[in-house]
Amino acid sequence: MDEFEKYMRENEELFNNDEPAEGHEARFLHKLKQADEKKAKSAVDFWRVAAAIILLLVLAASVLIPRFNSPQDVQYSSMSLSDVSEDMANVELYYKSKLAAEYEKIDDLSKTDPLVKAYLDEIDTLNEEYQNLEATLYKSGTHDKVVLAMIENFRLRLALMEKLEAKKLNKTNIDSL
Amino acid sequence: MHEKLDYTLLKTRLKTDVKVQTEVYNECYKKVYSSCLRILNDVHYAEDFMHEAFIHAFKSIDSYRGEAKLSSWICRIAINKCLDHLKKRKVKIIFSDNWEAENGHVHLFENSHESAEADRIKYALNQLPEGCRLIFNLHVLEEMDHATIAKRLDIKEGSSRAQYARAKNKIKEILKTERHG
Repeated sequence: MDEFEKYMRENEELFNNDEPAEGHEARFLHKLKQADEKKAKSAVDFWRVAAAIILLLVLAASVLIPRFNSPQDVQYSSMSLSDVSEDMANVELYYKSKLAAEYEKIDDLSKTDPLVKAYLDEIDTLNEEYQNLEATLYKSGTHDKVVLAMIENFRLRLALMEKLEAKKLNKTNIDSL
Repeated sequence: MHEKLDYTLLKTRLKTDVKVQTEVYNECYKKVYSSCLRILNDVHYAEDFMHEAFIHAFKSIDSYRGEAKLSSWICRIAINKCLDHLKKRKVKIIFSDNWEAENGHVHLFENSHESAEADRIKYALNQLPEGCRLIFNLHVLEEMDHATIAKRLDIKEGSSRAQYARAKNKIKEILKTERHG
């Protein structure tokens, strides 16, 4: 830095003393007020827009969510018998293991046979009803009627499976004659 | 006054308190206005950008870290706004290169009142062509290095240095002529 720069920097205030036109402070305060009002207005506008968007989202959700509720979604908001009590857990375990055993027994049946297909369709319908009952149990709490309906559903499915198995045995016996 | 105020309190009050905003404005406006005027060379634009810089500073006071004086921070905002304006408006800055370099050594400040000397330098500065006056002011009074000046004005760093040297010699020449004349 030479003498010239040094002088100017050391006497900076002598070079920073220009005076704006008269009334500059009033003009500044006016602009400042306008900027504050604009800021306040944009803040209000922001919250208005935000509120409108939230309202729209809530409305859209309330209309759309029930439409997109798939059986898979229902599973996440359902209760099984085992959630009710330990006894009911044993009941559920009993029926599920029995049904699984029956499924294995009829596995080799022709699914295109109209009679077999009719049985299996009926069992599928009962399966769907059972899932609905699980959802109802979740919503209503451990309501006795729902619990009984679920047990009845298990019983019906098992009965159908046993009938189907009996028909399979009957058919095998006839075929072997 | 404002430099003595508690830093956090000042920041909080500068956001909304018009009284404190006015106090800061009155304390710093000359420095900010002078910087704007040096860059733009137009009293109306200089006032507009000075006002804009203060409003911007108060609005974004949260980003002020207190590393520089508040007045210097506001001044920096103003300078950036003025340079952006020149760039945005594509203001043509003419850089002169046809001066004779003055090699004689001039003792600028002998036996003279400093204020009067400053006025003479300001007078000499006003005689300079726009481009080199701008570079001289940015380098000496706004303390910007040549690399930054070059970047902001879209010129080569060497051009900035050359214009600065020419401006300095020209000022000395003007001052010498004035003193002897």
